[in-house]
Amino acid sequence: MSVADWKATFNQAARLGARTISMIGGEPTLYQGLEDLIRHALGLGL
Amino acid sequence: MEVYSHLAHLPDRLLEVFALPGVRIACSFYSDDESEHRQITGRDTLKSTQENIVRVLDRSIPLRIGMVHILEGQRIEQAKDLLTTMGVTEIGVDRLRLLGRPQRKAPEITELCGACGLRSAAVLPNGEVTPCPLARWMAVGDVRELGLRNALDRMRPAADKIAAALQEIRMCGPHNDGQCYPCEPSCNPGCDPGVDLEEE
Repeated sequence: MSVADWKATFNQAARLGARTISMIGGEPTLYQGLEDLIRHALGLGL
Repeated sequence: MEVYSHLAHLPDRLLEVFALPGVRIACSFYSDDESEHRQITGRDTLKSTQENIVRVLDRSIPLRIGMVHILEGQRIEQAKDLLTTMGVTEIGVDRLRLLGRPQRKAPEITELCGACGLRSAAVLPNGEVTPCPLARWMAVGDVRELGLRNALDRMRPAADKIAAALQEIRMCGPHNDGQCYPCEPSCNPGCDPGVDLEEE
């Protein structure tokens, strides 16, 4: 999954009524796209 | 948005992102003892994790700690005391689940908590959708091909199967009411009274 794929998935989750997203396992802080994905999720209210 | 991390490494820049409203942190923690921590995690990171927990708390970022009971005699209580002294207010303890990395035999549905896939789903790094990150063998397909809505529809039977399998176990005990603490010999295999399931 690319960062763009994750964002597209987050968008769908938000549209389907998801309330929150959890980034878990391996270790998210070692993932380069983490900051970008957090900001994207917050923008969706997740 | 929750980020589940061991907090061994937390660059300033990332701390700033964690401090944004709407972010909460979950942190894994095992012991207050450096050698026990090393034995479990394979890393010499207890001190840095503790320092970063303090940095997170100092920024008033919502934090919960997830402890996993792995070793016999593990210093769980001492670790909880340490965390409480540090100012942590939310500490959960779970047993090791024999799934994923710790798994040494075929995965068993009863190792799951039973709430998988009911109001939650996991998307794995390869795009596969499953009821839970610990239920990888129940993946139903790639979110990029199916779309999330179709993937969730396909996942429904697996989620129902998990719920049914675990319901039977949770309703164990002498009166079949799930009130089996402390655990009794009459309990079914997999009975896990210490695990709290989130209620609606």
